[in-house]
Amino acid sequence: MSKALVLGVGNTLRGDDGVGVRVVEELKKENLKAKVMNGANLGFSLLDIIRDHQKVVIVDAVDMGQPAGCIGSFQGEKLLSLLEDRKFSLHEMGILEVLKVGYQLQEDLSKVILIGVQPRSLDSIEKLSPEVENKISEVIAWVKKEVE
Amino acid sequence: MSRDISVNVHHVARVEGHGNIIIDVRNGELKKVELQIVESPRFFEAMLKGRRYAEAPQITARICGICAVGHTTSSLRAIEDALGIEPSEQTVLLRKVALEAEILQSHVLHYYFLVAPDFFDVPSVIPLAATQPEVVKRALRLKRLADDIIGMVAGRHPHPIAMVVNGFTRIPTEAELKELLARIKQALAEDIPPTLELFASLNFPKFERKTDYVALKHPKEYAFYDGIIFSTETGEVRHRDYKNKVREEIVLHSTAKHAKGPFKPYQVGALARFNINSEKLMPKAKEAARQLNLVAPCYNPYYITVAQVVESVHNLENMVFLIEELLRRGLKEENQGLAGWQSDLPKVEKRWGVGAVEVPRGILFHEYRIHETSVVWANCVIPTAQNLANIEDDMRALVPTILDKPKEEITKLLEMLVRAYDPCISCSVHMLKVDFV
Repeated sequence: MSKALVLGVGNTLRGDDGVGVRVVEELKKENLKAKVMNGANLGFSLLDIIRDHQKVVIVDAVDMGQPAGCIGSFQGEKLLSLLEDRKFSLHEMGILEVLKVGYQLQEDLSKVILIGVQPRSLDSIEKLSPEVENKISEVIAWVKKEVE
Repeated sequence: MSRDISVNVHHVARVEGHGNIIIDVRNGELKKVELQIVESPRFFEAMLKGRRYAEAPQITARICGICAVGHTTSSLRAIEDALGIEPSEQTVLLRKVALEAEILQSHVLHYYFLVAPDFFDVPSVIPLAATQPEVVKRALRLKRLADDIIGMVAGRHPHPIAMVVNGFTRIPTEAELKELLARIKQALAEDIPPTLELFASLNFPKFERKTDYVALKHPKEYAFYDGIIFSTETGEVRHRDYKNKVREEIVLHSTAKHAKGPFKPYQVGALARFNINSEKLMPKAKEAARQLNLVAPCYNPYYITVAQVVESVHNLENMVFLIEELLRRGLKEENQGLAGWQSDLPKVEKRWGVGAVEVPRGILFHEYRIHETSVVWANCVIPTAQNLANIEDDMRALVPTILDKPKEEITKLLEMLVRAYDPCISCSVHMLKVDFV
């Protein structure tokens, strides 16, 4: 089993949804001990990836009903309650849906930390809103705190 | 019975993309049946114009995140048809492995994740994971196997990078192929029997409507990669003459064109292939068909799902055969083909070619005109576009026979019908909600 993994997920063509990918692109330039991976639109293979690592930090845009750029960290009970509360779309298999299936299948999610950033807009543009852009370095610091 | 029913399913769930089902019945008479396709058009054919021909497989792979190998293969075959290139046997064997793996992957996703929830009365795979964890774990194992085969052979999953015109930029090692072979045999021994048991226990709706079934046909094999176009009603058509069989039409309620026969709609996909080619299935797949009570010819469109289960057994068995053949011959580093990123593509003078390949949902056509090093014109006919008019004909035949049922049941039967075709709406626009208006 490999050690820690930082996984950025999201779609860089959909505005702030690209925040996770943006963060890992920045982290790749640094010499982290943890493995850094662009997960883009990972589906169920996320579950295999979680199984193969001791710790997994996922960075993604999460609608927490907070002002844009707000950062939240979800782990253990807090992550599970996020999965409970969520209204699931039948169309999309997003990261939370996959985690929920993993939870139902009794995968070990205690090693997963989700760092969510509140998006302002998920419009079809290839850049982040200023609110989210300004928080990139702060998100990177949060990630490093988890894996260093 | 004179009854007014209007069904209006806005965005049918558990299909790839967005479509609506609209049914209007007045005084027991069916007034309107529409499968509306509301996905935005994607303009891939226009994007290809002016691009260097060797780039076309990588560009068109992006039409789909599920059948990317299928689009790549059809694109490669169209280019090779135009350029008069015959790829090596090793290249063809490797392409066939990748294509069969993709069909397996897509079928597993469809019959386990999109169809099975209907039979357990749950809205999606998420609650299914809680009540039937073994079923979901098995599905995920099969899907991962298929994904890994594609990654190993095509260089990347889901969008191939090693498959290029006339070759592979990288071929798998013997050790990699041996590892895959062991896992495929394990899946056949451990995951297929419970899959067959599960699908044999499900009661699919009873409804029959004979239509025209169209698929590739090959004298030696259950055709996916190669063959002549065959229609159960009108017989054989050469691949370059596909337009004699396929007429594309624009309809107002769909951003996907309707591609149908010159006289009437036809069906493509797993059941069409089974009806035409079942004799060519591998032995375990034939046995699976018997166990699932699937006999050719079968006119029940709900059984497309059953045909997919049978085909996935064939895919595994045939991959064993293909990989053993590759290992027996020994893998050779051959020429690396013509990749999209190469600067020195051979120039050609006004060429034209067609690629016809079976992909998970049916026969896929790519047709290109090439001049010098560029694609100057392109046409792609996607399986779902060929099935849309046939699905509407099914609905027209089905609705009058179920008018005595409660509206919820009518809606569910219509959604299940559309879902059985495993429509890939995002690809066909160039579909699914039921709306009773």
